[in-house]
Amino acid sequence: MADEDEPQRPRRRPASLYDVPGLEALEPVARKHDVSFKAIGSLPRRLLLFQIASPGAEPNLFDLVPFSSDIDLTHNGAPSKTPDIVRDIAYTLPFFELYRWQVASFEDWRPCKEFLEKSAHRIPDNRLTLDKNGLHDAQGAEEAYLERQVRFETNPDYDRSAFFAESRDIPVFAALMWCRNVLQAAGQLEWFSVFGQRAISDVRAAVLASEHGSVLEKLSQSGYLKSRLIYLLTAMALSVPRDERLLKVLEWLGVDRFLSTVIARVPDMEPRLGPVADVRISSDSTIVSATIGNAQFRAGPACSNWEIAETANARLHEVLIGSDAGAASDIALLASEPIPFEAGNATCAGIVKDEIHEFLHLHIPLLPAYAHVINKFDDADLSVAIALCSRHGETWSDLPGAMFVLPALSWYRYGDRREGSALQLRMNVFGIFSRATEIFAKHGFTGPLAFRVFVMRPVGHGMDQHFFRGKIMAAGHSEFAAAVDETYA
Amino acid sequence: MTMRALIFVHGIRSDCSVFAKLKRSLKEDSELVNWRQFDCDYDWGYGVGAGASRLHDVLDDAESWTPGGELFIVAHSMGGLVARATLMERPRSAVKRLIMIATPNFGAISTAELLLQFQPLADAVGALNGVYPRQRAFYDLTHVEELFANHERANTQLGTEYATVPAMYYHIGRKVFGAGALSKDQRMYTGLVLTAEILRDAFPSRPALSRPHDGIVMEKKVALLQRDGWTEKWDAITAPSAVPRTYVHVVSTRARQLNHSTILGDETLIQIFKELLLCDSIHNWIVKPGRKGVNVETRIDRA
Repeated sequence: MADEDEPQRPRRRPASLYDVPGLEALEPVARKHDVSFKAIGSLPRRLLLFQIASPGAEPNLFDLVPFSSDIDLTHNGAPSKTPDIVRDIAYTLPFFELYRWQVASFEDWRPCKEFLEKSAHRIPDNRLTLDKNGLHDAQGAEEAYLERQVRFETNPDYDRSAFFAESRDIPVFAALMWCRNVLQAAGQLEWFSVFGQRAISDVRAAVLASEHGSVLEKLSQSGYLKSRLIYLLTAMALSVPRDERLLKVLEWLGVDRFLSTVIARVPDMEPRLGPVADVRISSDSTIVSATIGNAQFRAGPACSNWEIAETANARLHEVLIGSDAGAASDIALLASEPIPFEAGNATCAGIVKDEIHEFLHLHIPLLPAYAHVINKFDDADLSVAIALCSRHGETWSDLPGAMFVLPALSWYRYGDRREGSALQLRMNVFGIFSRATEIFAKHGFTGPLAFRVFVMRPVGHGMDQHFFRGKIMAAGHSEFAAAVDETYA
Repeated sequence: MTMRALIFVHGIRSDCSVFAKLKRSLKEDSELVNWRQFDCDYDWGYGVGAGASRLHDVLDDAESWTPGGELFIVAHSMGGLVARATLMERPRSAVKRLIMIATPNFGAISTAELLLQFQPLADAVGALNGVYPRQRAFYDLTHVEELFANHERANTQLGTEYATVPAMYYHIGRKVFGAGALSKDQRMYTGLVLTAEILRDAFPSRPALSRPHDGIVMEKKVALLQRDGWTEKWDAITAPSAVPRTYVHVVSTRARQLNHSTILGDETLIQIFKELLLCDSIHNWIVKPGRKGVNVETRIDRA
């Protein structure tokens, strides 16, 4: 008799890359340019997790590329074809703007591939690929998942590799990726356990090795290594599910001690890593943004205060002052405090033709007050707008409310909308921040700027079952007020 | 006397109250006073398929109230797609005519374009509206041809006559952010100017949509006259000129003053809607002489 806890082998679905809902339009682009596409990175890994968790179900691109994930795509054409391919993908895929894309030819991708192969440690499930013939799992990642394991292989030749000499890798990077993968697997597969991972001692050794003086010195001298460390630490920290026992595992792995060491011994890291160190227990929201320069980021890393419910909606209407049509606007559920941002061009923004695609990620812990307002709504029914303003609330009225509805997606972390979980938002801010300061100055509004984030819900769908049949749009303020009351009840 | 009924189908982010002025005006017309009016209200967030399911119920209801009579559907925006999907799923001989107002028959503008148009807060769509790409309705509006692709062979005998009517507020020469656009509140106005300037910089090659459009839908995407886009009216729009017309695209000069929302309450357009309802056939309405300020398009040459 089979053990009820034993994971069952899923039915294999020969899903092609072009069968993933939302990516169908890649096929005509591939045909047009006479190339083949291959997805690498987190998309194939999440597809495998999805197929294990929900055998037979149809995946959804929104969930396969959540929050801090990208779409990494390679093609077998000449590198010179890449800009035209990206442009056609942008113009063909309806929701292109919602995702961060990294598109490269195989040739351009080769150094990254070598990096994965020759770095200090290897994680086999990071090497899954997805193309027109389906998932390719040459390293046996599925087998390992079904055994409740994420593998971690040490590269004995690492010290002699070019990557070691070029200072492009430190052991803790792979350890953090392993932690992230394990936490994500635990978040998606109910039966998957963080405890009992056979690789845990090797991972701990990798973390400890990174505390060595020579490693910290490399870190001190490299903006790339600092940015990469911040990115990986943040990605890992934001992947921790509610289970507080997991914090003990991270503690045992030495991640917390490593963080403290870096903060103490590597210059300039405290402002960025301090909030990351706290993120798993902090009530502050975390902002992950593009870098403007050497380990300097566009915004964040934290946002402490959110106005909620009626106060948030009043703030939205303050921005929309003068609009008679405000009665039919979406209803704001949360409004952030002014969040300062740095002017200038982001170094890691994507460019499609002459458009900048720059992303901000917000991780909002669901404190009881926030959860009460937010979690009655499905994450698909939340939208985001930002308004530019001065950095200080008291001078808010001196500035006009330049306002932008953004292509944004939101998720409750691992679908968990209870108190203690988190709402995670990813938004494309295009080139708005790059240009705003200059244009505001041209109109006489000088000084550093900030932005407020509004999390909104639409009127007339879902929660308003009795309102959409009850004429909300033209009925006037009383019915609208009733809808607002309903929202915040 | 033939009994007739009107069925109203609203679009995304809306309900049938958007037809209030039009319905009142039709009810006050002596020739239309006896036409029974039905609302098809549905939860737009669940998309075209869910709307079609609801419209089937409303049509069943309307048919039972007007046995042997004629039904006329007036649909706004995505409501036109709901009506088309309904008729293609199950053709109904009782449905004589479908009037689609500002319906994105070849899709709405893209996500980025949609966002650009949502910025002019009150000007284009009446309020600050977020974009909800995970909602089925937003997916449908960017996949319209895919939505109807499976019906291609299912319905070649559609008896219902179609009319499409666009709005074209954003035409060549329209200064969207010109002086006086929102002069009653300088702060608001300045905010809009800043928003527009920043967006123009952020989207150097996309600030101007292909005009004319109504804020949400381009005029050419309302018409079923796409040479490379199949619709259930393909045979009708490519038929030799001697064949009676069963489809018309009505372009009014007045539409240049109307956006996606205001097209429903404009007196000039309401008169056109009345004519389209009361004529004995679309073909006879097309050939009727002496209509000023209205251009009609009915066909494309078979490729």
